Amino acid sequence: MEQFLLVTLNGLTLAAVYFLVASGLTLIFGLMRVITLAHGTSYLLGGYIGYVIVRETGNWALGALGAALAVGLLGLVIHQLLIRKFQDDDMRVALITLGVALIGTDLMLATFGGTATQVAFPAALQIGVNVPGVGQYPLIRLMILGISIVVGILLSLFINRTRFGSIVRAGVDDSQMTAATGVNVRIVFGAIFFLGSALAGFAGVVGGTLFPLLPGQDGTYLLFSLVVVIVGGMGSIPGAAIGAVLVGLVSQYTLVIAPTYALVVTFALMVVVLAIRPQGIMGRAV
Amino acid sequence: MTLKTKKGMLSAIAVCAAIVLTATGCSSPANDGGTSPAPGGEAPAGSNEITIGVLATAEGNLAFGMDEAKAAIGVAMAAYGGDVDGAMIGDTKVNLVYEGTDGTSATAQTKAKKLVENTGVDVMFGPVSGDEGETIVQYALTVPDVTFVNGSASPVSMTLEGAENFFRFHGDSAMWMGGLGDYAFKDKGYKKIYSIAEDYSFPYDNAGGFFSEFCAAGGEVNGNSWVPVGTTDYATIIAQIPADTDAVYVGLGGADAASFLAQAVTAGINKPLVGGSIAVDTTALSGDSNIAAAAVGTITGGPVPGADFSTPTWDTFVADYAKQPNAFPSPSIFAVLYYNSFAPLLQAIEASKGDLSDNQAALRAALSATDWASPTGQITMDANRQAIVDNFLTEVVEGDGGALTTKNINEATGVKQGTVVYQRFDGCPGS
Repeated sequence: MEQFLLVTLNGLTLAAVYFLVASGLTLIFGLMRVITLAHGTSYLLGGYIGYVIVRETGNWALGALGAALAVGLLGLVIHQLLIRKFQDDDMRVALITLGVALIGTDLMLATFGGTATQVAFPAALQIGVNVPGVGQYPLIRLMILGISIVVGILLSLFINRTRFGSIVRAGVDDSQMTAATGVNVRIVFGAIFFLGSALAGFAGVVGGTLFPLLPGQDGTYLLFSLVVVIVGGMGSIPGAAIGAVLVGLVSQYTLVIAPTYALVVTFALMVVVLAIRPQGIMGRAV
Repeated sequence: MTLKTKKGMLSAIAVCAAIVLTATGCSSPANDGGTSPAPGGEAPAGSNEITIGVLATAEGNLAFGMDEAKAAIGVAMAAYGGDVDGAMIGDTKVNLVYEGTDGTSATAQTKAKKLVENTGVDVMFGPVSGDEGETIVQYALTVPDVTFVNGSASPVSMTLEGAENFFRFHGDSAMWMGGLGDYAFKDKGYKKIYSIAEDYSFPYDNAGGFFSEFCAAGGEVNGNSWVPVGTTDYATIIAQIPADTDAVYVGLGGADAASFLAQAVTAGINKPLVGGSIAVDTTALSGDSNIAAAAVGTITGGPVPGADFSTPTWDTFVADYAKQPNAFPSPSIFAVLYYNSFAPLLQAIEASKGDLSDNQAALRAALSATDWASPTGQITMDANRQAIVDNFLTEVVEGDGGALTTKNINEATGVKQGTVVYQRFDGCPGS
């Protein structure tokens, strides 16, 4: 029982990182119908920027904020310069962002090298705390779970309770009708691209604190956030949360039961969801 | 504007996911890495001439393999007054032709065929990686009139395939653990070890070599976790380590090893670690992540001695290596293994006076008779043309300024190859 709870908690904390990465992707996907394959690159770049800021200032929060801002702005620039013109052409945008991802990955390899780096975290917080029913558990993983829940709630409030959020929701449902009512969707698109990229950059710092940052992590996180978004449903923040929890729990449970098949089962989850509910768990069919 | 449905989007996403998989999972296509001149040249009349084709990685994550191979060959050829392009070994003119690979078996096969069938080399030397090695042995079986000397490929099976023309002058990946199992049981007093290793052929052999010795000494394996390559979250695996474990065997490499070591710190593993041959190499130790608390004290085994190793032959080799173009601060595992393999080839050419008649019988007899004091100890050959070598046990220590480095703790001499090609095992191998 103790192990079951422990593995569940591991799955949930892993899901926290997946959720942070995938929430940005689901916003961009859902609203803009744009498949950005540079999302994993944004994650890794955010991690590296956070690593540099934390190394220079010793302030973790500043690193997370700086990385989110920098990657968000970069995302905005990429959207304005490269994507805006071809926004209605899925395949072209996918190929452009794939190109950005490949170039970005190689630039990061040249700058930060191929060895593992990790965002520093105050040693005083690198301790275990007593969790009822589980025993000693790393505080850092609980904090990341907390950060993720707070971000999730803020995002939900932002989408559901603000005027901008209602425009975004309208855009998710029908961007052409939204434009026809006089909303400048181009500005909304730019803002969403900024927000989505900033979330990826922030996730990079959070993930880079828990796991090492390395070339190759970009592809891994892109793939997992695609799975999370497909399982949860495009454009839905609660969907991204449900998808992340499912992917996190399934991958951790299979690591215990059948470690060899951990990856296969995670992707099988996506296949099953697509077969039963093609629009994703929280997605709405149009 | 065209209206799009989410259904259409999903198929587009699926296509894009496939693109991502292709882009991140496959290496770039190979092209010609070597630009060396054609062999032949102006051989003095009446003397022998031997052309050696060299395979090494020039692209991909082991792209430095070619530089390391040339540095090793440069050191060996300098002893005869030659260089990386050729030398006179006695009365025999030796020419070298280089071909770069990307570390995949497909490219290795193509380049080996090019060297043998187009260039017409007499001897093949290389390759670097294990996958390439397994392919090259299969190819060697089809061209019995060419002699093959391995570079640094280490799968156990390579010298058990019965290729009479294939020679390996260094240990296989099971032998790289030689002496570590005994040391862990007898000197460290570990009775029960939990094994965490990646699920593919190299860790099977590497862990198999360690645990067969450890179990034979009386040790017990109280659990195995074979994890997929690329696993980043080890919290659940770490949670499975039984409380009565004396030590944890870490058969991970590269990014996976770095992930594990970092999480071993945050999860507070208080068990000593035993590393596979690539778990605590420079890739893991030189990174800027918080692994010192877990990594320091880890014992491991391999063909390259620790940073504090010093013998006259080793020191000479390191000094000669440093003079080569593009040399690292200290020779990598590839430079050491390529040198230890190329020097015996030159010695055999000298001993056989470059005689390639009768299916290169004299050269092969001389290769089999190798008994050489290499920089890393005495090298002799067994009946399968596999070297009997010394193996080094090292321990991770904190060096000057807190940087992690390795210290030599023991040397196992005369390590011989077993006859077992390891598969995934539970408990002790073969149990």
